[in-house]
Amino acid sequence: MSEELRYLHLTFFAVFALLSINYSVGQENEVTYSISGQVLDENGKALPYANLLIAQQGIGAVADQDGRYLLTGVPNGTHTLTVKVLGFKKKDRTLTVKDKSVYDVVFHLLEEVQTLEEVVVKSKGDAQILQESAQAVTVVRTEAVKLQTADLGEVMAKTEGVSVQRSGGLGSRTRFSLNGLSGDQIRFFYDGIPLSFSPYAFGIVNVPVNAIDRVEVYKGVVPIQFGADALGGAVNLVTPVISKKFGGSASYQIGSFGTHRATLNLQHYDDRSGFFATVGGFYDFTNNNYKIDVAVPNEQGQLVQETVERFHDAYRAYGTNLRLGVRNKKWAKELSVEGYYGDYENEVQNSQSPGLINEPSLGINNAVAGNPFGEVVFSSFSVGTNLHYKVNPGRKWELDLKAGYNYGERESFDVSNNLYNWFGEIVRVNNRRGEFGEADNLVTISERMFARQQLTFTVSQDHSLHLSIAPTYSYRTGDDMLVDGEFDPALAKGKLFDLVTGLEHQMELFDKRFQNITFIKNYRQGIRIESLSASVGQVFVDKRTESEFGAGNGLRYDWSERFSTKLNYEYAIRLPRQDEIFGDGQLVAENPGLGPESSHNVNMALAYGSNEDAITDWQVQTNFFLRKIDDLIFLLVNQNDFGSFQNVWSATSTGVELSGRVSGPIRGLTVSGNATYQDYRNTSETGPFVQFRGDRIPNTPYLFANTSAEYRLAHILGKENDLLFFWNFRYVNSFFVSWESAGLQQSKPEVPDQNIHNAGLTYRTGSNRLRNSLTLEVRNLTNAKVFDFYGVQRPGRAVFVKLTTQF
Amino acid sequence: MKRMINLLSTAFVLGILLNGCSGDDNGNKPTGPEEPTEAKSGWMYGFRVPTPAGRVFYMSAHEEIPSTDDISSAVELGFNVRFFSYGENPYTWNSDAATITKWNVDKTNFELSTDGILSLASAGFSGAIGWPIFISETQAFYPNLREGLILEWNPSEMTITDIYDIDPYVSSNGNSDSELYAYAGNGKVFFPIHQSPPEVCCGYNAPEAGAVVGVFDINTKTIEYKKDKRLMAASGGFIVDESTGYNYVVPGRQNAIVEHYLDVDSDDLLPRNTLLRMDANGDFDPDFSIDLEASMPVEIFMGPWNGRVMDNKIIMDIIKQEDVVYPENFEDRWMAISGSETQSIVLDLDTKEALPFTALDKYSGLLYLTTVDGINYYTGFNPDGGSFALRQDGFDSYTEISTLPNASLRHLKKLW
Repeated sequence: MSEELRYLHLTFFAVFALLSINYSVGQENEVTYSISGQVLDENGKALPYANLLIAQQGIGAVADQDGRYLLTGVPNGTHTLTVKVLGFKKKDRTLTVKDKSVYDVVFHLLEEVQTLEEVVVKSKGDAQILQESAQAVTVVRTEAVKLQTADLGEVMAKTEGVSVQRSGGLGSRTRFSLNGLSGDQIRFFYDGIPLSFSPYAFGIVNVPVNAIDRVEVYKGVVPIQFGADALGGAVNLVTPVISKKFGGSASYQIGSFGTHRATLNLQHYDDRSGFFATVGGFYDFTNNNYKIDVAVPNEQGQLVQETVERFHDAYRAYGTNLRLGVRNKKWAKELSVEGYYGDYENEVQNSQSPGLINEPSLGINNAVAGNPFGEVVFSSFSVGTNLHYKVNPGRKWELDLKAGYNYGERESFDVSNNLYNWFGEIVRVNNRRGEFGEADNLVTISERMFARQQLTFTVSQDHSLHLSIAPTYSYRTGDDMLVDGEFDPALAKGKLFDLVTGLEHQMELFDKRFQNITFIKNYRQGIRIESLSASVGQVFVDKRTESEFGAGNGLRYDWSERFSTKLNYEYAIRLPRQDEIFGDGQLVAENPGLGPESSHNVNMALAYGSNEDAITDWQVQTNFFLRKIDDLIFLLVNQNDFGSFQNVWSATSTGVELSGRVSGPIRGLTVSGNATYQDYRNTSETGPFVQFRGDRIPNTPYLFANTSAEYRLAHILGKENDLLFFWNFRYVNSFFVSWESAGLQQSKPEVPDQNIHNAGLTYRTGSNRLRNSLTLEVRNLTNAKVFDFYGVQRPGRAVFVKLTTQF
Repeated sequence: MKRMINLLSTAFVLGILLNGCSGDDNGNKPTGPEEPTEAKSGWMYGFRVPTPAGRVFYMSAHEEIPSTDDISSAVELGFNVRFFSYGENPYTWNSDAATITKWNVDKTNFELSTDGILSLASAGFSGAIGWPIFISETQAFYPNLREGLILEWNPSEMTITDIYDIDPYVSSNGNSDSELYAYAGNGKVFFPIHQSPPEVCCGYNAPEAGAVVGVFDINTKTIEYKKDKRLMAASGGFIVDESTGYNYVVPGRQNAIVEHYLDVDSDDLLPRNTLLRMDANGDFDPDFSIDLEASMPVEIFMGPWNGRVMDNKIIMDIIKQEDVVYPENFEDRWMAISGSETQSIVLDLDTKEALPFTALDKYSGLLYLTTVDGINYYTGFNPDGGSFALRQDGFDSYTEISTLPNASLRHLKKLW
């Protein structure tokens, strides 16, 4: 039996075992009854984490983030069910339990508003609860930025510890870094499942902000339920909770560079039947024809600087998803199925390294000199379905099962003979096809399946155990459209099977002031690649299996209501990709002995804030972090450029993040800011980088900061209308492209300092039931010449208008 | 509130300090009171350094070949650069920007400064194309045979003189051939054409392919492709005999690959590792051939490219038959070269006999760099990515004269 089959059997056995537990523990309380329902506010919005209690029986429960609850083991008779939520008036409901097995009770609570110098006391949301947990997480709320025109990449870049480098405007290539680590070292999720199983498979920064309720950034220490080999952390996009009978939101944005962005999200929930449905969609288009400086040659080949519009950089993406299900049944807290489709097409204007010239003596200041592309296009689509089943098999048990299937195709299209200049003119018809250098028309096909199963056992009010099993299977093949016949190397079939298993213990002590999370993970990987040999006409098979362990701990202690600390640690793993292990058969040889990258990740966070009843609401937070990374993978080549991936270098990233927010001293004004300094250095004692031991890791920002201010003028042209002025500023320190100790300092190519200002105003009308807003925003207000990557200029000043409605 | 302001102020000051501390000294050299004197000699030293983001190129100038690379004092050139030099000036080709930069070397302190940039972006030249050919201080050529272009430029003015449309070289196998190390002499420029085998199975039409050299006449601005159909393919370099004017045409490494995996369509071929000869006019000598396998179990001929004949002998690298492991899978065919150890041999042009050359036993995969005053210089590479420069003091006497612990030496040239 192959290793993959063994894993599959193992996985299905595990699933079966979990379901068996579900079944067996579900038989515990046959003579009792269940009460379920939902806790809502007076507007129908879900109130998370409400406490429900039948005092006489000592039966209680805590509602979930959607306000849903389930009380089991309720005996025959009349009981008083009490519900409490901080910031809302307590409510009692008398209920006679007799012959029905399940009782549905929905509570609508009135807000308990205390007028105390205009400070309103409210309950904590689930985002805040997560933020204040022992997890090493920063929660980015999108409520305010949904009204603004920034995309998710720009929103993420405002987060401490996060660096988002982009090669252009909307839809461009992006490098997302978290405390210095980037690429495959960071994993992305959508409602807890891998982002590739969503309509947004084309990169996190292009996900519409209006489709997201919040973003959870896990720094270096990743909860087991994600089931991933995330060396440096994970990012989870969380969609809005379903809380109303009917609700939704829509937005439309128009602006510079021919940009149009639209989103629509609708939801319906039927209290009686438990049926719910959500439908969402988005459409993005931009020409990205912003102006950049280029160095163009005259007939003698001498360069002259010009400013031109990019002419082949358009981006189009659209997608939709539909989710149907039921909630709040005895047999299922939720059972839902989702289908989605996403599609994008991206014109490519230039290579990743388009050739920057900086010769002030010739009047050329950071201008691109290489040829542009005029016909290269990358496109992709992704379609799939997800299943979610959540159930409480017994009073102390919860099973949360997610599974999905995805089919995707990517195509690169580069077959033109035309040579373009920066004015968009064809200056030559080449004999050679392909603007990158060689003609390319490759279709890559992938099929993926995943499952995420988490079984929770609540040992007591303060202790719980969590078991997570997360298998992922992916199959990849391709077709080189330029190769005729059967011997197409792209037809090779690659199969990858990952199984990440985690066990976690959570406990809360000292009246919940202390929380501790301890976990252990096992990573198993099986790879199999089948390729057909052209010479001997038979199938060759490469395969490998790998097993690694990781572990971690997180703790939080609240010294007082105003001051808390967190300390987190994880020994994290990134398993090698299949191309890193098996090479490409041409310039990259296989290395069956290639090991995983590993890292010791440590965070220590301090948070200090004002009293809840203070007139001035403020908070400061700091996080000290350490990433000690070993066995980093690098392509080591010889003089003929042949080589293989090897574990040859190491690095350490240490740093500090500071953030603060204050509102209240001036009525309507909120000011916030953060700064990150990361000292990410090469610590290799052997290998190709040993000569540069102690140097900063090149091409990586190490000091960046954000500041924002918002001023709200209330009651403008109506009691419920207000006007918001906002301003954001981002600073990124300059950084070198190569090792800092190499080369004369005055000759070193560097990505220059960035100082970017964005400002705008929003007019907002309506109440919670129907809220509309119109935003006018100017991005890159000073028209600064900005680079994230060396030689790739980003957009200058741009104006956008956005209309948003929420109902 | 006051405490909060203090905290924020402290954070702000910390940020300023961290920012301020991050700026390093700018590397200005101390100036001495002595009157500067011009150095008697100057060498150009070009190398590349690996980084996690790609390979970055550096260049420095020295009075003598340095014993090791002083990377901190080199000029950083960025990614995707090639070096060459003519007269007293180094030149660099930036394949991303499609520009040639001319450099001046200060003869007193060896500082490098730019002396003009020439862009070929609109002329159809970009990427990793061949090396330029210098004829004089005011005349040089840049080939792009595949596109049917020869560009003439003036290195003194750094301007394009003209672009000549020539017959393009169109490969018989539709593959990406390239012209690498060209050689000028007798009013002609000789472009050895490195011809790759097909990417896909299974036939190979050797007579259509053949060993090909492009001969460009500087006066008539025309090119003629000379072909010797006795050999499947030539490599992208010559071995030059300056005493006789002969250029020895090196068999391509791919010949063994082709023969192993593909059905070769010809009964009239010479053995795959046969050395051919071309006269000063660029004509193949139909009566000359040396089969390296006749006296040695040569499987794959490896180099050197563009080497020089010494004492009517040629030193070259080969892979012996017993050392080659051909992967079964055709797609892995290049591993036969990359996974095998090379060995040096010496070929006596008088006796046409190849023998083991033990003086280079400790090295593998040497590349020719330059010849100065009749002395050849080579570079070799260490498994961990470092490299060294090797000077040929005598026919079988070699000295490592420079070590680069983590860099690859790509260019070494005496400028004056």
